[in-house]
Order: sequence, then structure tokens, then C-alpha cells
Amino acid sequence: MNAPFEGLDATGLRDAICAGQRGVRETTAACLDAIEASQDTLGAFLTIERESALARAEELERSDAEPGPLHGVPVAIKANLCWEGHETNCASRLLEGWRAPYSATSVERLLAAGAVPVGVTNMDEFAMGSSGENSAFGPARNPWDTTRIPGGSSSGSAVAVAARLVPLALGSDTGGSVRQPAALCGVYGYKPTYGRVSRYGLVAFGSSLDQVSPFVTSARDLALCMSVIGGHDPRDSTSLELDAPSAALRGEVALTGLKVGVPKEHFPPELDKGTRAACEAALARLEERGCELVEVSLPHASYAIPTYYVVATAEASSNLARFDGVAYGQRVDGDGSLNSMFAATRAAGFGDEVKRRILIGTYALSAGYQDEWYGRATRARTLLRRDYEAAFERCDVIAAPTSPTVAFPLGERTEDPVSMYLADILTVSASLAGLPAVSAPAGFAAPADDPTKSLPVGLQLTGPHACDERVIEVAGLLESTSDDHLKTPSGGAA
Amino acid sequence: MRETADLARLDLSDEECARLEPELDSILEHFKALSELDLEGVEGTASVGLQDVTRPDVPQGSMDPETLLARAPRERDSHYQVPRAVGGSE
Amino acid sequence: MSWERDGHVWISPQTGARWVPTIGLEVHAQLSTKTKLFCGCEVSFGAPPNTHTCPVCTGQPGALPVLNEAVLELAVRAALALGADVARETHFDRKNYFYCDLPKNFQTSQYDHPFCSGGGIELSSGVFVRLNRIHMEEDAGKTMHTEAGSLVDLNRAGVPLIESVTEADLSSPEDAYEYLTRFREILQFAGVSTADMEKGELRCDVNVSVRPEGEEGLRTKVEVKNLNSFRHVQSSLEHEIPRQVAAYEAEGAGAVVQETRLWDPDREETRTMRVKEGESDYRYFPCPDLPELHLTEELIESQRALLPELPKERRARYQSELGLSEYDAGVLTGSRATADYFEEAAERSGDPKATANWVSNELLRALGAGEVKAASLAELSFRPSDLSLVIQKAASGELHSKGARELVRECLRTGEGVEETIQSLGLDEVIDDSQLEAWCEEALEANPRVRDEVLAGNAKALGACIGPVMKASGGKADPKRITEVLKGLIEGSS
Ligand SMILES: [Mg+2]
Ligand SMILES: [Zn+2]
Repeated sequence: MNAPFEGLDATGLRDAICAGQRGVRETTAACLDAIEASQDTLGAFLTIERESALARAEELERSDAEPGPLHGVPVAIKANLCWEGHETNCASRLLEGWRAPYSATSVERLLAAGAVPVGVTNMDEFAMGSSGENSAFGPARNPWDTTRIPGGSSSGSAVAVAARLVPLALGSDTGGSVRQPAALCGVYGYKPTYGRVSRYGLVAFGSSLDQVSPFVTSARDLALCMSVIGGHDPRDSTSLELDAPSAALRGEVALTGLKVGVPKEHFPPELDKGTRAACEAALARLEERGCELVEVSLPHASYAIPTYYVVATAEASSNLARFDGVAYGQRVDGDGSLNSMFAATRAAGFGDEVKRRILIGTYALSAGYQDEWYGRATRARTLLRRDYEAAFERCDVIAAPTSPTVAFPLGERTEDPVSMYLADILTVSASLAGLPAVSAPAGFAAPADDPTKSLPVGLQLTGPHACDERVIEVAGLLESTSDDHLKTPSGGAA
Repeated sequence: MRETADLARLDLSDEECARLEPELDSILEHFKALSELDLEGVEGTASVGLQDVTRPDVPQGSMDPETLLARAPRERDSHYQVPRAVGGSE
Repeated sequence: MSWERDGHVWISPQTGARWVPTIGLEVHAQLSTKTKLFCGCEVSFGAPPNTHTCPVCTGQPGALPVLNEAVLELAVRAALALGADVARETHFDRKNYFYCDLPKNFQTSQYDHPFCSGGGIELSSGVFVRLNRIHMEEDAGKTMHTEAGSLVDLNRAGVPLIESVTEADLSSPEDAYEYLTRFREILQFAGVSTADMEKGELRCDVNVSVRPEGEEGLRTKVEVKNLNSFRHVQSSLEHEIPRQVAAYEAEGAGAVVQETRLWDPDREETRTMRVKEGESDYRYFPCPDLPELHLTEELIESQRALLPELPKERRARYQSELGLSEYDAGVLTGSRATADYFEEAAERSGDPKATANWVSNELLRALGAGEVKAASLAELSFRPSDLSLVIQKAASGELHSKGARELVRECLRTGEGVEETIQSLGLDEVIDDSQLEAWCEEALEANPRVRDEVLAGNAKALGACIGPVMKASGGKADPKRITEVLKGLIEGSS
């Protein structure tokens, strides 16, 4: 495969373009060609927007305006982020063919910064899944081993960045949907503090948890991307009144003496041996750079999965009620009554996992069960938040594996929803607490099922509320201790 | 199961019900762990963060109706057309 | 079959048994904002379908609500006007149900923490109708049922409403009528709603049950909907109460089932609305897109300061301070616009009684008869200052009463100012006494019997001569002066 931007990250690519070393059109075209060539093996994209991308590239080249911070950088957009005029189908049959009538704030901000969206990426339907296998249009595949899952739900965006098809892709993270695939694909995936990036235009799954979240290949790109898409948006009432995080990383010096909390609950006995070893090695490298490791505890961690799934599915059951065949999307008529049209449309349009979660969420909110399920889960959520508050009294960031295993084979868990849900066991806590968390490349390990293979491992760094810069800076520090982030899969384009 | 599916307007076939029901049972069984927690005096967290977010009462303009209506599966005389409904809003 | 009534007791014509109804009302009132509850679309009436919609109020995937601050202000003012307690903390909940004109298939409303509770309205009988609660919510769209299916217009979707629910403190159709009249005028006077039923700005549902006089506890209540005017509310109760009694008498306990019935004004009956499938289970939960609200002392006091004197107090003051009759006081407080107009004109003219007469006999009459194009006195180009000028001119004798009336009607008709109209009507032309005497003599000659009758003691006979003199003067002569001249001529000649 050809390398559309020769291993450059978004910052490097922008600099090369601005220095006149590369053209925007040339970069865009190379990128589109590489994506097209990868589709059969990786399936990262649902739509490739060649025409609009090239038109935009040309427009950027002709423009006399001051180049933006992402000038000429090709980007990919997850299929649940509205991009005006483009198909935003959430990898669902129900929304097949639906072109968003407006753009999400995050997409608008990418465009305003000079980025060139090249296509819409594959995902688990309505962001429900941890493997990418719940896409109505077939799964994306892990570029490190195409018989394996890339993780989910932002599967296509993770694959696109890991395979170096684009240097930057937007995903969305509700319970780990960016961090987990980032870990499994060996790239950076960053879930900002809840409210740091506008949710306007992100098709809602669990509204109190969802965050638009980027994938990139370097820590400095995290800072760059957050400086573009972050910041207050008056169209989202849950948007924090804070400026976008800074585009620049402070040096290593600022991080000397930093206390890195290690929660014992996130290193459980059943953790994959290879994953544990890689994470411990990464922690040791941080220690060498002057960080102090301290043991902390998140006593309610074992309740995170049920808490998360009850809250997220309850919200989802209400959020997804709007897909009824009236004003948009596909419709199935039923027996001629309005209610049968609703029920037939939804039965035909939603896949199994979406149905499962709508049913769980509906049940968790319904009369007679609400106190037991939704009510208890929101109160358990309070306990989880307090766990973090207590832990952050003892440390500056918390470090733990992102995923309990490396990428597992396609099809391995599709028959067992509970084992699939457990893939999120280490990521949902930060989501419930609304905290900033990054998954950073942290080496490689062999999967339990095949000792001959070497697959990426991610280290998750979680910070206190609104301390997004700190989290990104620690990721930068870790990055400086190895070249893990520079390794690319042979299945990729680089 | 049927009741829940009706509430959620999901027209499930018998085959689907038979398949989904044990799955849902096992999921809920796993989630039952929540009932172990002592939540005495703990307030719920329904959402994270902010308070009192409002906007001024200033018209922002509406969208071109054709843009939205064109996306409807069926449109008639600038209305969204649906099968004949009974009942009404609350 | 006619039903005899003894106060609130209905006497069955079949059995002579005595039955008592218990009535509660649920009233939805539209708040007078420029834009919708959660988006910047203008609130409109009669606009072409779906022209006042956007991604938010049509429930497009990804769109998010932002609360209109004016809604909060008006809702708080309404609560204060109704004597209710404003909660310090409140939030919005989602009420989940499917219907074609509810774009998100949940209504953003309030459930267990409405923004206010308590308060109520005293009826003329002295009965205090307690309010259980008032909450804020969004309106749904409008569905038109046609042969070609149902057609949905979302212009109303997202319009801000307050829903108020009374305790079951009403016990007659007349009570219900009076309550609604008072409720509407309070909202109108407080400036929170124009509450025009024809525009759907005020909608009412009735809950009614009956029980034998003296029986403890309440029987099954029935909800009656589709009540498009206060008259419909009253008539539907006049039919629903006997229907329930007759059912109990014919079939015994259990004859009345809990249901929603529709009032059919043409056939003058209520009938069962087709029963909805399944039990209503709204699965309320706090809306995760809308942060909690704190209704501050500052907000509440600022709204209290804007609260005008309410109709009940104004009526009392008009009687005690301005010496108006109860009837006149009632007419003049029929709307805020009328009362404000009257008060300004009365203040300027210094003659409340004369002002009251002019407002009710001329201005409201002209408005009611459709002689002027205005919805209320507030829209008249004939301002309170114009009316007070006319009153002063009439008092000083500059205008005679007939001329003054003609002047006001002409001003209303043409929209011209008072002084211009006096000139154009020639009301400023002075008729000299010799001319008047000549016309009077002519009239007496033409009606010789008048002189004899007046001399015989019948002063009223003069009337026959006044008309011809007025006619001869082109309507400019003062009838009072004509009478004096006529009398003088008759007396002088005898
Ligand atoms: Mg309501
Ligand atoms: Zn709108």
C-alpha cells in the first residue's frame, strides 16, 4: 500500500503543507487512494467522500486566508457525527441514506481549522458495541491482524488512524468507545472531560456520558485537536464554560514529581498477562522520568459495568425513540396503523444489540422497576465519582490498562453479550465520573489464544475533572519514553 | 418481555423473543450486583456538571422547510405524512 | 329528560336520588415568548406548515435543547400571580411515549420536581380551588387526520407551556367555567400568556366523578378532552355528570370505567376515545441534556416586581375608590388591555364614571361589533389621551354629547386625530342663536300641535321639533340648546 503522508502526524503534515513541501490536493488524493485500496481488507469507511474532499482541497489551496491549525489535514468522521449533506447513518439500516441537514459543532470546528474530511467511518450501530461487529454494513478489521476486531464502537476511526489512512479521526466515547479501540489498534484515543467538547450534532446514545473524542498518532496531536474541537458551545447545555485546552504541551520538567496513581482494582488477577506486563513496563518508564507511583483504590470499580450499562441503556432507550420512520430514515409500513408503522420500522431498522439495549433501558426505566434499576444505578454512579475524588487527593493522574485483553478474534464474543460488555470494564468508570482519560500506546503483547502474535496494548491515563491538559501532557511524557507510538501495522498504509 | 418491547415499539418475532429473552435475563442477572450496594443516603447522579444554562429569547431563524421535509419517508402538502393515527398527544 | 339541581346536587329524574359531582381541571397555557422552549424558532400562529422548525424542534438526530430564559421568567411570574410556591431547585424530565407529532417520542416536561406547587383561585362562591402543581413543558406538533393518513405540522412542537393541575375542588359546571375565566384573566393580567383558546394557547382537560350525596370517598374519575372553549367545558360537564349517574343507576357500581372521553360539541355528548394499547408507562427520568435549575431569590423578586395588580384587586378598587358599579368594574377588567386603557383615560380625564361609560358603551361596543380592526383596546389608534380630551371637551360644553359620540365613532372609523376630526365634521362651527331661532320657528310652524301640548304641560312633545332642527343644522346644533330655544319661543308667544 502507498503511504499517503509518510508517517507524519497531523501537526507534521500541516507543517509540511504550510511550508510548501506538499500540496493539499496531492495529500488528499493520496489519502483517498489509500483508503479505497484498504477498504476490502479493513472496511474502515462507510462512505468515501472523494468529490467533496477534492473540491475542498482545491478551495484550500486557492484560498488566500491564513492557514488554519489543521490546514490541509485529511480527517475521518465517525458515522454518528452530523456532517451536513453527507450520510450520517450511524451504521444502521434505519438511517441508511440519511444525509445530515446540519453539521455537528465538532465537525464545523474541524472544517473551520482547515481540515479536509475524506469520509465517514464504520462503527458499531448507534455506538453500541465494543468490537465493531455490530455495524449493519459489516465489521471493520484490526490492521495488526485482520482476523481480529479493532474494538468499538468507534471501530472505523481507530482503524483509519492506526493504518495511517488519516492522521486524525473523530470518534465518540460513551463507555470506552474511543479509548478501547485506540488501545487495540495502537493509537491515541482521548475522551475529554464531559462537557469539554460540544455534543451538538453527535447522535445521542447515553447523553450524560457521550463525548466526541479524537484518535491521533501523537500526544502533540491530541493537544492540537483538542484546541480545535474543544471549548464552550452555546448549543449544548452541558458544554462547560471553559476555553479549549491549550494547543501546546509543556515540557517534561513540569511533570517531574508527578504522582501517578495505580488503582489495584484495575489490575485484577484475570487481566491478560501480556497486557499487565506491558502496562507495568510503561509505568516503570514513567517512574524513571521522575514520576512517583502511588497505590490508590477505586472501591466500587466492580459495580462500574452494571452501573454504566443501566444508565447508558436507560438514556439510549429514550434517545433512540425518535427513530420511528416519521421525519427521517427508513420506514416500514406495518399493518396500516401508526403504532404498527413505528414497531415495524424499528424492528426492521435496528440490529440485535441495539434492540437488546433498548429493551434493557426501557425495562430499567419502567414503572415498578425504575427504583431498582435506573434509580440504583444513578446512586451507584455517585459512589464511583466519590471514589475518584478520594483517589485524586493522593495522586495527579491515574494509570491503568485500557482494555483487559488485546484484540480478540472476530466472532469470538458475538454470542455472549455479557463477555462483550466486560471489554469495557476498565473504561466505563471514567465515563461515569465524567473525567478526562486517554488511551496511549504502551507496547505490545501476545493474545492468550495465539502466543506467536504481537498486538498493541494501551495504557489509560485518567485525570481530575477539567484537567485535560494534564492528561495530555502525561501522555506526552510517556510517549517520550519509547517509540511504541511510531510502530505501524503491516496491514496499514505506512 | 413482550410488554417491554411494546413500550419500546419493537415488533419482535417469536424467534427473536426466544433468542433475546435468555440473553436479557443473563445480562440482568449480571447487573443484579447493584442490589448489593448500600445506597442509604446516597443522592443520584443523573448528569454531570452544570447548572442554570439558558439562552436569551431571541429568534434565530428556522431552517428551510424543504431541507427537513425532503428527508421524510413520506411528505404531503408540506406535512409529514404517516398512517392514520388514533389518540393524540398528552 | 331534565335534571333538577339543588345547588351542587343533581337529582336523578329516574330515582330522585341525590348525586354530587367532583371536578378537577388540567389547564395547559402557552407562555408569551418570542421563541420556542428549547430552540430559536419563532412561536407562530397560522404560519404555513413546518416553516417554523429546525433540527432541535423536529428532533433531528444529534440536536440538543437549550432553555429559553424567558420561559423561566414567565413561568415564575405565573406561579406568583396564582399564589403558588416557587421551588428553589427544579429540573426537566423526559416523559416517554410514542406519537407522530412528538418528534423525539418523549416530551420534555417536569415530573417529581415541578417548578412550583400550591396556590389557587377563589371563586365568587367563596370556594378556593387549590392548585396541586404547575410545571413547564413543551407542546407537541399538530396532527390533521385525513383520508390520506395523518399529516403532521411541527410548527407548534416545542412551544412553551405551563400545565396547571387543580385539586378536585370544583363541584359544578358553572364552577369550572368561572375557574377558567379567572385563571385566564390572571395569566393575561400577569402578562405571561395571551391565553387565546381559538389559537390553542389555552387548553383544558376535565376530570370528573360522581357519587351519591353523603358517600365517603371518590368514585372512578373520567377524563374529558377536546374542550375547545369554556362553553364546551361547561356543556361537556352538563352531559357527562348525568351520563355517569345514569350509568350507576342502571348498572350499579363499576358502571363507570376509568377512561378518556372526547367531547363532541356537535352531538353534545362525550364518547370513549379509542382505548390506547397498553398501560401508560411514561418512564420519566431527568433529562440528561438539561442541567438542573436553581430559581434564585433574585429571579423570583424580579418577577414579583413585574406582577401588576390582578383583576380581582382591580375590580375591588374600581368599586371602592372610583365609585363604579360592580357590573362596570367587571366589564372594565375583562382584559388587561381594557383595564389598562380605562385606567389611563380615567386618570387623564379625572372623571372615572364618564370614562367607564365611554369605554364600555363606545369603545368595547365598536370592538365587539367589528367596527374597528383591533383585537383589543391596546391596538386602537384612538389612545386614552384622545378619549380624555373628548371627555374634557364634552364637560366644558365645547362639544355636546351627541357630537362627542359622533366624533369618537369617526375617530375610530378613520384613525384620524381628535382635533382634525372635529374640524372635518365641522363640530367647531358655532351656530348663532338667530339662525337657530329661525329653524325652531320653522319647526314649530310645521308642527302646530306641539305648542299646544307643551302649553298643556307635556314638555316631551318638544321632541317632535328637535329632529327637524337638528336636520336643518346638519347635525351641528346642540340638542340641549335647541330645547331651550324652543321652550323660549313657546313661552314667549303665549
Ligand atoms: Mg402535560
Ligand atoms: Zn426549532
